[in-house]
Amino acid sequence: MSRNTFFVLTALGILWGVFGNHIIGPNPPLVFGWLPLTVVSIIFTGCYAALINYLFFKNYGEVE
Amino acid sequence: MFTIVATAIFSLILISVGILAYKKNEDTDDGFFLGGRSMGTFATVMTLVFSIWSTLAFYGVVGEAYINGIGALGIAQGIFWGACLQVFVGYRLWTMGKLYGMSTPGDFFGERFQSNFFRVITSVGLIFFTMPYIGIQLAGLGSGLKGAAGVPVAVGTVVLALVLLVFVSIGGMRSVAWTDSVQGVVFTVIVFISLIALMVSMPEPLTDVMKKSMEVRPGLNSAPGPNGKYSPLLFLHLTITIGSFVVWPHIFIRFFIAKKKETYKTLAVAFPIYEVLCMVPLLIIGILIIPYMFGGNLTPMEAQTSIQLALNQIPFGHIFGAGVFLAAFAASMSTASSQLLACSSMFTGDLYKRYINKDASNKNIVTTGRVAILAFVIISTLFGLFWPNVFSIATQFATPGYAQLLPPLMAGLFWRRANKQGAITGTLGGFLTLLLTSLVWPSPLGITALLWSMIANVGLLVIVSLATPAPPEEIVYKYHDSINEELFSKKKETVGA
Repeated sequence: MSRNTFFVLTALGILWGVFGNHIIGPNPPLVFGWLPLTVVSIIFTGCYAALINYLFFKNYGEVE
Repeated sequence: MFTIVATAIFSLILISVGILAYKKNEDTDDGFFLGGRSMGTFATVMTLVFSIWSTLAFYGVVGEAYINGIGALGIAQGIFWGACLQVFVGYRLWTMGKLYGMSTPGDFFGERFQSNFFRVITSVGLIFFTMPYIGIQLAGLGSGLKGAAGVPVAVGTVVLALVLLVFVSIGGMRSVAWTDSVQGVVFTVIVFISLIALMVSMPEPLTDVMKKSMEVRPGLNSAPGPNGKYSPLLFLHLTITIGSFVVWPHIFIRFFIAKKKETYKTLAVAFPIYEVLCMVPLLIIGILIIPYMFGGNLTPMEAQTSIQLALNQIPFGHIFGAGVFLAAFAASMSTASSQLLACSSMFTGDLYKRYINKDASNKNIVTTGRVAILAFVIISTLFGLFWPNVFSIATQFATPGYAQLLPPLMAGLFWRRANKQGAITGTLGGFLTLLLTSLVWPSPLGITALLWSMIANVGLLVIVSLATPAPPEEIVYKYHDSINEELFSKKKETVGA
């Protein structure tokens, strides 16, 4: 992953972290009937951050 | 009784790990304070992750989720996005540690910006803001032990302070990192077991549990929450505050302990995952289980201890109750031990070795470090027990205060033009702005004090650096060009070889 792509994806992630739960709204759908979508969003945001870090850093400092 | 026995056994395990670490340590300052710069990946990852967790986080997430809803996990955003700094910052600091023998935040700020004044104010400030946390966590644990087992607060606090003192002073960083690993595993397992035990104990299906929870405390499932607390601005504030965790002293020092720099790549991935694994179960307990079991009118203080009360009401509750105390114990000790060693390291490395006894031998430095640990434990415990209010202002400003070092850290690592005048003016100006917008004109235009202070800090750093002479060429070469060569060319093989 290029540096620019990484920064854009990270910026999008931060924006979702800041505004996402407000965008989802006051009565979020319940996954499995009991787990709010807002909580699922937090879980996916964390996984997304880990994934883009993995893809960007896997070759960091090895080839230039 | 069960809680006391479990706590005693766990304390003995921690002390045993400390003794084991002592036997493996070299009797040098690097050996004691940095584990000989040879800590393995697992221990480094666990100590970094769990140095951030504290009693406040453990009890706090459940209580805050119950009171203010899912926004309680706004702090996770900081960890998610600050994780990439583990590599950007970590690789450079790790390399500087290997090449130039750096071991404290003061070393970096003092050397890169050629200012002993900056080194001293950094160290004194970080020690001043870190010590209260140690005392508050010990006192918090003492209160927890009273709630869980009826032990008087003063007795519990002093005994736990002694456990902390023994395993940190015996084995130094190696002991702290290894005990953090043990505590991290204990914490994670207990958090999951607690969630599962509570969920399967519910008398109705989870869909009905959630429905009733929403009826008694509407708004928990969404932002800004029942009290309208978590605005986008507050999420941004939390992202910056917590995302700047690389400059917390007990985290900063961990950039010098790993055997391989690749460890920090693992951290960049592990941090967000672990944050989800540990915090989401607590969040679910706070928004789903607690309102269902106790209704919608708990006070914030009651909400803080509600997880303990909830577990006491299910089958085998006394065992789970002891487990929850052990989880809080693990979270608290892991942070307190890391902070204690960081304070000792900064005092010994930045003040004692440089200004009090310049010719100190390795043995003398390690002994002084141990004496400093004893002194910091005594001071923290006394204040935590008897004068907690004295510490309250220091605690309030600690995390945003640490964040003031993020701009000079990033500029010092990545901006060749950043100089001493800019870094010092930005840091002091940012901190002054933080005080003014917290105490004199609280949050002007609805923007938090931290955001104002960061704007002032970055603005001053850039303007003053550009308006004053550039740093000397040899400094630019030493902290930028040669580090880039080490990291991004074949020369990198020489570091740590």
